[in-house]
Amino acid sequence: MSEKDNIIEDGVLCTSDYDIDGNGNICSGKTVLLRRDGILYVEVGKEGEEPIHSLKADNIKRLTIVSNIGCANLEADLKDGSSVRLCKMTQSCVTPLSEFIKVINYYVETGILTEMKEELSRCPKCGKPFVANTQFCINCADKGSIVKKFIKLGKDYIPAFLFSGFLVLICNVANLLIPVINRNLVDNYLFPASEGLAPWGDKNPYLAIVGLVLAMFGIYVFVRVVNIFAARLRNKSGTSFMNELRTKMYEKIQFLSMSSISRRTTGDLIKRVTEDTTVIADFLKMETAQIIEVGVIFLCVSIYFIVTRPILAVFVFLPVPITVFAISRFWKFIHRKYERQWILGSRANGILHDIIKGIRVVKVFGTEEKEIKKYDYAAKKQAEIQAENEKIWAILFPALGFVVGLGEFLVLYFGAWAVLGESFMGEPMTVGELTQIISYTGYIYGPLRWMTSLPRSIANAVTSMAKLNEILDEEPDIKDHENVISPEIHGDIEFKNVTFGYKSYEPVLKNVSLKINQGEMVGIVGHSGVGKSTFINLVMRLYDVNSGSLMIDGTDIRDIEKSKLNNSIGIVFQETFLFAGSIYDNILYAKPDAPPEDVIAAAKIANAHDFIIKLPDAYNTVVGEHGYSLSGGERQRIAIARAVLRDPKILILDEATASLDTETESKIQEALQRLTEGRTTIAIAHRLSTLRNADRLIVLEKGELAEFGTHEELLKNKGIYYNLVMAQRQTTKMASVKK
Amino acid sequence: MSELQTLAEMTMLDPSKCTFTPTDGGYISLKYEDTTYERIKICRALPYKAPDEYICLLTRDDKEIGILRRLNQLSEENQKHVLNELSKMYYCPTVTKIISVKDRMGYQYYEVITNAGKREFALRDASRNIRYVSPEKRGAVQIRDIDGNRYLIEDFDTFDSQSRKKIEAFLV
Repeated sequence: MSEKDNIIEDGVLCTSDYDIDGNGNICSGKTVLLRRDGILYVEVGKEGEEPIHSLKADNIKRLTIVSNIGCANLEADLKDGSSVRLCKMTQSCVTPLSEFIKVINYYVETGILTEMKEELSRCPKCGKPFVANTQFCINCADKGSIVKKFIKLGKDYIPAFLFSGFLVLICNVANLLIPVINRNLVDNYLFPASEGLAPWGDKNPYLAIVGLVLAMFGIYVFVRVVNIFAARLRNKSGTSFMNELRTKMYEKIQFLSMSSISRRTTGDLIKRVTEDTTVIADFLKMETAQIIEVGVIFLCVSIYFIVTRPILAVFVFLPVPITVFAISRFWKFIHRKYERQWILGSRANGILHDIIKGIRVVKVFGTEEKEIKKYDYAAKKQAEIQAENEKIWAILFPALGFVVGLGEFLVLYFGAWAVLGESFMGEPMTVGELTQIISYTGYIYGPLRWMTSLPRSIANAVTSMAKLNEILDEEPDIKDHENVISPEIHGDIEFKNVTFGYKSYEPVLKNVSLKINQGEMVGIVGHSGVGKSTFINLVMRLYDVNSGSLMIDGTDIRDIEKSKLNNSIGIVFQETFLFAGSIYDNILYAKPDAPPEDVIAAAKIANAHDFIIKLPDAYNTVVGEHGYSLSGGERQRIAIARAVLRDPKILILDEATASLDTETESKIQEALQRLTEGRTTIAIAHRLSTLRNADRLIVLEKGELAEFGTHEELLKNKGIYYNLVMAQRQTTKMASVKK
Repeated sequence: MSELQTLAEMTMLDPSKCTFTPTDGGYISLKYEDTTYERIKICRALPYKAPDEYICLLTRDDKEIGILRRLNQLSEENQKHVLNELSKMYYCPTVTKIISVKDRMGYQYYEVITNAGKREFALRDASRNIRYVSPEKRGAVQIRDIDGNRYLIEDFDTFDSQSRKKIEAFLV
């Protein structure tokens, strides 16, 4: 290797930050993977200083981030068996740093260096943290690009919105005509009449007055009718757009892989589908029309003032900033106060809810008095703040009215000077003109309050858009590649050096290798949290392995068409989820084209038929939310029937009978016995007796395969399984003695 | 020892028999009576109410060795090692001043001065994430940001008054 190559090769490969130094102070530290003289090092230290730790990458066995309370430590297990704490960081550094250690751990395992994925926790532009699990900074986001995307999404609705906007525009121009007519009425008819002048000659003034009033009335009616029409149009298209967005989101979520779904909470996803779409629709329905309306009024009135009465224009517009400032301060203040009241209210409610729900506990411990006091206190506090808020409101609101009226007041004052012919006000003004000007001033000051809240509602809509966008833009990471095959699945399952973790820096399964033969029933045992559920999640391909491979009938699971795989796997969970609908539909869910005979046959195999036909509505009994409530055992048997109907080649039982009493369990065991015949079955169970029919048992310990063999073999080994069996026997014995 | 404690097989450790030693890798080991436990874990049972009492000691595999009733029963040297280890497990800087609170679309951006230096963080749902530590709603206040970091105001009543005004509305 020439010297030049060496220079190119040496240097920093990737870095990440940590932020707490040895004394617990905030610092800017770096973890660096670098190559020096052709050797890879991991170095940790403050920026610009000598590294505190420098480890040869080849000496490292594994890097881990250990989460503590309010902070985390980066720790290295070395190949010589020792461990080192490398640095400490706040939670904010964990996500980016985990990408860093992924690179190193992958290198240690495979000898291959990969690119580090940039995962940021803070906005690179302003340094503020990202919010709501997004990679989107609300502080300085390019709102325009997001809005553009949504305009593209809603392009079918644009004509309707444009037309509605046009109607609003017409309405407002018409609205501006009312003061003009009014002025005409005052100057040409009412004022002369009250002065005893009659400039209209022999013409009947009443006819003209009636005409003007009718014109005003006509405009009024026209504006209302057109406005209603425009609002309906907006509502209709806004709602359709919302529905379309919801459907799109829902579809997208269905296709996203488990890993991106479980990164977010169910609540978060539901909120994005329901609330965020509503926010956008509401914005479109309400605010867009207002924006046009206020825009038109401001523009027209400003032009009018500047052209006709430039001096008055100064008095009209001068107080606007003051008013806007006063209004926004007022609302912010009052908003906080009311928020506080709301929180206290919901807290008092919460206490009440707790007491009523937990009434049995309260009674048993005899703490009624204490609970009453607790609620009393909360209710009193709420009442206090409510009274205070009402007082503040009563005092401040009129004061605010005064500030808002300031502009009109000035206009009235100086307008009156103009009417009286003061020369500094320019041309003399008629009374009619003054009424017109005052009306226009009102038009300007009216929407000021709305305008102060506009930035917030725009921001809200954009945030919601960003949140939706994030889901809509996401690419499912488990999907069929181009050359997938769809073979007939027989049910051989083989794990080859499989390593997997939900967060790749925390492996749940480590280097697991084993083979399950077609038609075999295998039980998985181990303590909670050793990776039993993870094991079956991989078989179902809810996640892809981090390294190694999982083969079904000798084919990598990633090369098998997903729908083919799904159709060959049946599963019965511990908690059965029944959809709202009839029992029949729930069983049919597994195979929508199955004839009724098959459904009934499946129910029979699952030992469910007998209890189903005893229900008044038999198979048509509605279950699920708001439906007939079935017992745990009954639900479980329906779930089994569902699995039976599917006729899967691979059957997974995840604690299928754990929550049932022994009698029901034995009934279900009987059903399962029929079901597992000839199928590859993987069963997880804590109660070891549930696994007595298993051909072989997998014992997992700390994510590794500890034991694998038949019941007798494992007992002979006197290992973990032996201890588990003995422990459970002990408890069974104890239970029988107590009886 | 109460009957309950005997039943629970609770081991209260004899402070005079504990010897803590820091290890090369930055961990801590314990020699108790004749047994040495390498790389033990230490945690507080009552982190707010009594941070220096009821200290649980666990082995590397999370098996409990026993509970230390009071930290100050240990020798000074031992205390230092335990506190040092605890400082690695717990991190909650004390806020001395709030420079600014900015509202942005339902999120709040904070700029604060802590005993560990200046920090910037964001939180949402202020009334849930800024709260009194004790149910009596007095004294210490904890703030939790969106990343899961914690900050402590030691005593809200004596907290800097300008800073207090900025967040007292959320403390209910």
